[in-house]
Amino acid sequence: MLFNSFHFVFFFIVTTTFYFVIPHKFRWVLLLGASCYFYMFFIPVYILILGFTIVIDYFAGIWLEKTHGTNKKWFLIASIIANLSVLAVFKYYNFLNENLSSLLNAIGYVNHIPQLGIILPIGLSFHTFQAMSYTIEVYRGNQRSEKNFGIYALYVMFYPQLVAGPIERPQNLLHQFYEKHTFEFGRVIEGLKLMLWGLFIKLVIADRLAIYVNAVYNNTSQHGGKTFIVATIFFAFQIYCDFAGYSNIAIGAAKILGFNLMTNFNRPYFSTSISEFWKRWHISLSSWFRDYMYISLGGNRVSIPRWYFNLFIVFMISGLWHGANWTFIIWGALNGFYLILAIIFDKWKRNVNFFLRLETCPKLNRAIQIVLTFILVCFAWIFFRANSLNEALYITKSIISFNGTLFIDYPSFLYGLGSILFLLYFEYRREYVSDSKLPIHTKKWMEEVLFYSMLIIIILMVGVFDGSQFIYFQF
Amino acid sequence: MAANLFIFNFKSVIVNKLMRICLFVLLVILSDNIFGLLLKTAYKNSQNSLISEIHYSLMETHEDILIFGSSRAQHHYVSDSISKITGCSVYNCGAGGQGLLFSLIQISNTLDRYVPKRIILDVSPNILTDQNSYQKLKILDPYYSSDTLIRKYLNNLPFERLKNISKIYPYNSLLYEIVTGNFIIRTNKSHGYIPIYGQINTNSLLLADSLENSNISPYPQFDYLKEIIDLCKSNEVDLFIIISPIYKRTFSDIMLIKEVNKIAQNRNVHFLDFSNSSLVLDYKCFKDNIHLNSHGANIFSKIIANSINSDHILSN
Repeated sequence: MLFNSFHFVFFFIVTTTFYFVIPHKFRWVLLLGASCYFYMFFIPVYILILGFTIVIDYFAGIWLEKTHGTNKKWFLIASIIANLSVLAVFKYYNFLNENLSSLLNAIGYVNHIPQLGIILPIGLSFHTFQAMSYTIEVYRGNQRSEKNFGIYALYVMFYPQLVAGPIERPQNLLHQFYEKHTFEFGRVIEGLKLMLWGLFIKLVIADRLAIYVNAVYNNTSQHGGKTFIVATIFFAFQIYCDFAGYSNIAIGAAKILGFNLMTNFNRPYFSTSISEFWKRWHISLSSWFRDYMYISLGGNRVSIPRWYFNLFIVFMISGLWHGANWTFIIWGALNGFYLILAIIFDKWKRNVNFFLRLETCPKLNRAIQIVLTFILVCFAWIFFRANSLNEALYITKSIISFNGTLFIDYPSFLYGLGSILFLLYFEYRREYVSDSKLPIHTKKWMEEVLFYSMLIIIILMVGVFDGSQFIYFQF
Repeated sequence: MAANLFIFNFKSVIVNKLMRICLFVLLVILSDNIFGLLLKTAYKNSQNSLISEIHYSLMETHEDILIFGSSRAQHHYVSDSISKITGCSVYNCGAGGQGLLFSLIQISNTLDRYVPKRIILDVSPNILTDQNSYQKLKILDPYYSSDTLIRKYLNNLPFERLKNISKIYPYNSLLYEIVTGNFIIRTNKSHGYIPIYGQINTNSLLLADSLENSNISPYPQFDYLKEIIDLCKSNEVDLFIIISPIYKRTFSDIMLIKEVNKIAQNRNVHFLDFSNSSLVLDYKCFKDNIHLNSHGANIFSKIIANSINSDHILSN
């Protein structure tokens, strides 16, 4: 079920009420049952796939802890292969098969391997990575294996973060299922505020911007460069608000229950470099790739060409994680390329700053860097959003030629611009005034009451209520 | 005593927090009612074309000939041209993006008030396979509490009853139209007709079949069509079902039009098929594959006016 639905509201109220009423020792059972129900609300039979990976990794964790030497490595490899196989079949099989067909056709052969007509299980990429982080941490000796099968299953399936993260680490989450959580008024209110803010940025900002973005990106032949620039900027905020909105609801829901999930976004569009952007955007995923892939490949403690290769390959695979399409791979590769260029031209950049005396104007310097980073990120978003590689190239070409007239749909334009400015104001406050997870942080409770009631009124007035899915659900 | 003091402090903290929650809830309810009332008043006064045309077509029409349908109706039938030839007053109630369910509601509301001499229903093949009719009806949310038929259909949407507890919700997504409509003076829209300009680019035409495997499944749009026909017959209204020109028909279009023809014949209503445009108009008359431009609309409207004005019904 979607977070922005009445089904979820009723489900959450019932689950939370029972959670605080029943004795502590049965709470994990309730949460596990609720998580199963939550997952089965999409396609019930897919719980068998989730169950399969949970069983594999549960036993893998126990065997990893007991075993030593080469066998230990083989258990880890077997667990990773099992997890990635499920991902490969459901997510990448058709993509690989299509590319094989293209390749064979190019040399005069025909591919007789059929396509699979299956729907991607929701949240597959997320819970697969979360499960893998468990087995890797047990292998590394950073985490004891979980002996309670139910608790381990709950670690993978915990419903607030089951379908779109944050991708948690066992060291952070597992022990929380054993802790007794009491009903704390302050914590519950904070959680509700987070959920409301998440709902606001999803329904009012993301879904409003989506109307314009979809009208442009789904009809590329009708539009020109000027329109694509606006649509791409709108998309940058759409995807941020969509994903950050989901994360806020997930973190807020978990907080109400007494669980602390990791922060997933930290005002990424205030980044002054691509490197900083990836420390602020989808933090749970980028840190996963850093800890389990980049560092395993050697990180930056290798020769320079190998370092660049590590960066490039990690980001390409990160792109592939997002979707089975060349556009996602190119998006990932572009980000890797940006990082490599930033390293290569770091000295040159410092020389330019010195020459232009930008150190004497730190605010101006920072503003320029933020804008430049945003432009680079937006350019990469073209590939993320475009329906095909050809379309992405067409859009890029149009933007460079700056052709066509600007497509103005006044309602969606005004809503879009207004909501972006609204968001940027509060993000600015959080960045430079008070570092808080919430848009406002004040001791004057009346101010908060007024602000949050205003959010509800705005949601009712301009929120999009057609139950649109969160973008990252498709990954 | 210390214990009593602790309990007293604890209770006062809880009471304090509960009071803040009650204040919050009260503020939300009060704001919802105040803004809801403001929006309701502003909506009624709005001269915005979308709102005023919907309102007029539902509540105020009194013309002899009414035209219903989607954007193809809106852009194809020049009310003034038809009026001149037929000698009757004409109003174009076409609504862009809407299907037959919307037309059914419009016609039903109209017939509750009076019986026009003729009703023209423009049926677009591309909307016959549309499965989102209820979702598109949300534009009628401001009438949810006052109109039984609209409420009946809107209640098919999930949790619509719950959402309409809010006084603001019916005006959701209409803020721009309401605000601008209260500051912009209404201009004459030619009795509902909206001209469009430009010419089709025949080189970049992309056609797609909306039917899978040429099977006419029982799409709900056909049920609405039958309901419209039955409603008009029971009120003794002269109904014309018209398929206006399409530049290039797809296989799906042809199959769907055949089905509409079958329904019209079974129920013995006038059916005029002008979809095969080459017999009627050339490419200069089209804005895109399914919409006539102003030039084409003027030519087509004269043909229609003559068709419905005579006993010899013209058709392809």
